Amino acid sequence: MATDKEMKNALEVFATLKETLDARNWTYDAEEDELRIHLGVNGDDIPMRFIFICDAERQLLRILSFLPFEFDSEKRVLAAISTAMVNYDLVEGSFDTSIENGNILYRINTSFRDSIISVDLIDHMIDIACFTVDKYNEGFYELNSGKIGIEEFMMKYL
Amino acid sequence: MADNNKMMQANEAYETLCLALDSRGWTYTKDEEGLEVKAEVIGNDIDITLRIKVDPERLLVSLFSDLSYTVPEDSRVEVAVALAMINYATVDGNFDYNFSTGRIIFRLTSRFRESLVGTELFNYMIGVSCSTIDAYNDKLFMIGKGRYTLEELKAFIDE
Repeated sequence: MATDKEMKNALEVFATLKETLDARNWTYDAEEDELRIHLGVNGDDIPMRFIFICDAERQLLRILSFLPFEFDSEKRVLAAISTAMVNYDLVEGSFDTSIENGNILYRINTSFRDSIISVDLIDHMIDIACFTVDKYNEGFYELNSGKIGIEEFMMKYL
Repeated sequence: MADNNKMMQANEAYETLCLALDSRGWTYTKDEEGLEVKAEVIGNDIDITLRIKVDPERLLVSLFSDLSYTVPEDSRVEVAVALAMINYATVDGNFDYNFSTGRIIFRLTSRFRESLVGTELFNYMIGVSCSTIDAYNDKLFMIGKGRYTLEELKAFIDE
């Protein structure tokens, strides 16, 4: 449970987040009580959806993007290996994959504990998230659909 | 190459990082030119090496911890699955894995671009990293040796 101070910090970050998105003229759905925002972005190949969470208890600004497909059950080991290969090359954020249900998502966080974060910082996170998801989502999709194998996936990205 | 404004921000972040470590009473080595610090932490089972780097170009602070072993070749697929399970259950930070070499590195990143960051941010990064690494480094080692199963890992994660 967040303290009053932690809640106040989170509310300030939520306000800065909305300011950042408004400056981009982006349309979004805000859940004010949950300090969450949902929005969609057109990608090069696959549309992307993002969830922004101002986590008051953890003092984290979290950006999550679930890819719009699940890895088939017989492809989940391949999902684990391919996400590991991609993550080893990433500087910011990472792809997670669920062995149980085949979900794959990108996450990038920044802590705002004892800090005041800027519109510029959030802008940067959004740019990184959009770029990274857009870069890799098609490859993961093609790997799952069998259009490419792991060697072609590696050649495409690594 | 970082411009003067970025360098100034990076130097401030580095100073605050060192203040955070000093306030913990930690012994650490400083590379002031590289804006990096290194520290050794005694873990429950396996000791932990931390390397924290301030990146003046990207305006990031990244914490890295190389696990002190490499995964044997015949266990690399199983460890990839284990790491997927662990990372999916982790809110902040993740274990990066070089499938070709068996190397595992924990990575956690935060940002200070045009922002004011306090010592508690760095204390948080260090605390959550040590806790996460300590929870899993021995289990990953044992999975690599065939002495711990993915089912046991799942039960531990679900606890």
